Amino acid sequence: MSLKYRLSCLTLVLLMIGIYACKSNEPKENNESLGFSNDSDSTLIVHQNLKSSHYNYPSAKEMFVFIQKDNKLTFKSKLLNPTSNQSKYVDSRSKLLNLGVYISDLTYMTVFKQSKNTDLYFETIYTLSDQLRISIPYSENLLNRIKDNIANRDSVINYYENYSDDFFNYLNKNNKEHILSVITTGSYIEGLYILVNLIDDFSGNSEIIQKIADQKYTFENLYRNLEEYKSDPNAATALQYLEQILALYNELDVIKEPVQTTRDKNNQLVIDGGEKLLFNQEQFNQFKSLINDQRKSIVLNQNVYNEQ
Amino acid sequence: MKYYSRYILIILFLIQALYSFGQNCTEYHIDHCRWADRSFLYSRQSKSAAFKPGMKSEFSIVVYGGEEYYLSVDGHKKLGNIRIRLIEDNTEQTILYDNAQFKYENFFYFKNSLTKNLIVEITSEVEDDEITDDIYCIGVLIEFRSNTLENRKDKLGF
Repeated sequence: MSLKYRLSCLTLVLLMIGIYACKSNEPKENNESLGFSNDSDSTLIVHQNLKSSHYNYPSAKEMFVFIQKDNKLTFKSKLLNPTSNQSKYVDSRSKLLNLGVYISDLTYMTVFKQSKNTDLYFETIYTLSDQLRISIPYSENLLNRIKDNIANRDSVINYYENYSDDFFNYLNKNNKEHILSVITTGSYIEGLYILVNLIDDFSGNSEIIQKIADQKYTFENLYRNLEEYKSDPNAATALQYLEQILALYNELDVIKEPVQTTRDKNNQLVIDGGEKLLFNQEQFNQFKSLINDQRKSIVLNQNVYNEQ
Repeated sequence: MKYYSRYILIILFLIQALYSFGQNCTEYHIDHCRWADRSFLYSRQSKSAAFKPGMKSEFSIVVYGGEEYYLSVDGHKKLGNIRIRLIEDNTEQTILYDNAQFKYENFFYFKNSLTKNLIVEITSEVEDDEITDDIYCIGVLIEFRSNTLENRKDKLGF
């Protein structure tokens, strides 16, 4: 082989690397999903991983984070779904919904900075994810690191928080948004179950009750998102849970204030006004009862809804 | 030896083709958008998408009452100025923020009093002769924190 030929080959290889480097953030196909909406069916074959949701919803962490500042709220371990229940989850519906339940439980533990048993909960999340073929590349190593550092509370919490974000990014990146939406349904119901059962006495003015009422918006966005996957049997079941919750949310009283924007003394944008949702005691009791029933059916794997 | 070199070339071509095919925009916001300080937490409502120069797209988010939000946007330079508008997600569709009024600043903060849905509308603003069918990535990073001082005691003093 001549030197000229070798040099030609080398040049070609370097050229390819160069082209790739310049184009690294440019998707190449023109018939892929564009923008943030879900309205292009032609994209499903070529670049599924570019398909993105029109309706976004916060994570369980965002639902829970406010309770850190409420000193009256205490951690109640009895609200957690025992990891021993994992053996009950043999079908994909119960695995997905309860994966969401355990994610909320672990988030609840980390928000209250409880490290006891976090390794068991992480292991359960890892096992269920693995059974569902959701394989985050480094999760097995992370599980070992959590076990090794179980005494170091901050490390465990930090590991989990990073894993949690990576977990959801992985599902988005791999076009598993329908799976993510079903997992999030389990997560939200568990989140509401924990919140409603942290309240000992009803007070319409309390911040936690307001926060529970405010979840209507997150449930609406999750519902709209799931509707796009309603042909999937697991998504259809999740929709039935959400429909019942939204029906009760729609009965709440609403105080409307005009939305206006101002600038504070630091010239930061402030958005005031909107709709304030209000529970009365009867509505709250009815809501709590529904959430407790739904959560029981999920963790005990009793499908109360007919398969579609 | 000649055949061996050809095989290497073919394999390299295949690897390159596969690698290029696998490129996507999903984590563009994580890698490219400007992050707020560490007192803010990452919101899973952050989003990236594929865009053509001159196009417009939007998505809905939930913002909780009593929290402070940070939005940051970044897109490929071929997408020109990236315009962000925050719009009330109801029949009135009131525009609450438009970065075109602030020299297309690529990040901003806002506080929110009551929980609500907002529409985040993103537009790639280019000249007419710059509109092409080429596709580039764009990302919107969303972070949040409780806007009460009690929740940020560790940020006071040294």
